[in-house]
Amino acid sequence: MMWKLYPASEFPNFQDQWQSLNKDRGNSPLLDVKFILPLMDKFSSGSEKIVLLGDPEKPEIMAVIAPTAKGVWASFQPSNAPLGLWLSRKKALDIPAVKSLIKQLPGMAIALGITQQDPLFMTRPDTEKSVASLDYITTAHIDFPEKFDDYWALRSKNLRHNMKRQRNFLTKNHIETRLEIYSRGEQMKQAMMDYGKIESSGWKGQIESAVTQGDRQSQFYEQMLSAFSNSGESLVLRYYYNENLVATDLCLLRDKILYILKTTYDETIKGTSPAHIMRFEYYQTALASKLLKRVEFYGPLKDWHKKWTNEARVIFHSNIYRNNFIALAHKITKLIG
Amino acid sequence: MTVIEDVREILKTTLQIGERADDIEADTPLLGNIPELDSMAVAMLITAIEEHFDIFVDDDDISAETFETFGSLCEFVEEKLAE
Repeated sequence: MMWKLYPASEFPNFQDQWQSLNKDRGNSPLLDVKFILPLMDKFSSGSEKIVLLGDPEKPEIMAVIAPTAKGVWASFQPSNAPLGLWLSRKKALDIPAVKSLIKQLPGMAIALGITQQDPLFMTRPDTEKSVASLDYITTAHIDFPEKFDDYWALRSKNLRHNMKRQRNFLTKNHIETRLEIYSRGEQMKQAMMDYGKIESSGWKGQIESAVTQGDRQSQFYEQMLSAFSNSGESLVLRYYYNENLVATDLCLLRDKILYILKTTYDETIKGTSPAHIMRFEYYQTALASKLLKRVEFYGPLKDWHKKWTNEARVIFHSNIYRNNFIALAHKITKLIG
Repeated sequence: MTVIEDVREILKTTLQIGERADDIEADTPLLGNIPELDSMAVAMLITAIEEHFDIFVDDDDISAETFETFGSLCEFVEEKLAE
């Protein structure tokens, strides 16, 4: 099995092949070239390789991988990418093909990690001597029935009461709410400026992990959302209490599936959860207009997710080893302690 | 080069221990003595030995004793070459 390796900078030359594989595998916007190109532009270190198996015009497998430690490679996985960059024509992971790739990587490669894979797009392999299949996170999703009321009736009494209480609180305090949606390319700069302003004033700002205006994260989201706006798939939810922007979600919407990529809200707000009220309102409106059938969160399952949905699945990593020696080596080194 | 020198060179490049490799003698302990020799490095070492000497190493061929000292590792390679 001959793999071809190219520098990551050549990705634009392979975007048709990548797109074709993604379409075969579920057509997720998170693996669309409109997502990958800005991701590589902003987060590539230059050490990544595009690897390709089969006819370069119609490859069977295509991935972007990078060395992570001596002898170890992994799919390119910046923190803003929910899924590792690995696509294959078949849903099952071709272990012999991956092993042959490991042998063809520069240096003495011993392992390759295929990170953050969604069981919707890749069948999870079994753990064996040279394959470690590991849980990464449990992520929630909502599959809506046709009508919002049918969905809402199935939620707990506690959640329904809580949302009603928040509404009453807003009315009592003369706070008018408004949902605004940005979807045009020229709106994305403002969307990211506002996002950064809210997030950097909260706890993420204190630990310096917030998106801040003009930083790499902010540039990535602006570039990526602008690219998706050309196909009408960008969606930035913005929620106001009177004239103040209090919550915003950065999303993609494809095939009636909403992918919530990033969310922030004004942490000084007491008594209500503006992000939840915003989503409640959006779900209600979008379902009424038949624009929505599913929401994907792609983040670690939290208690609040469980209130909004009963559905979740495990995102996994697969570590493939060149041979069986790693299991043996673990055993040997453990004996030494 | 002799087997001993070849194995020393493989240790040097695989573990990236530089000139420390030159001080290794037959009775120098490996596992537990060279901090770089973690499980990943052991796997890399076996793979490098397999490829360099064009030998086939089976799971049952090796144990902790194989990596006890530099001498035991070299002995293991010599035995495999003699098969």
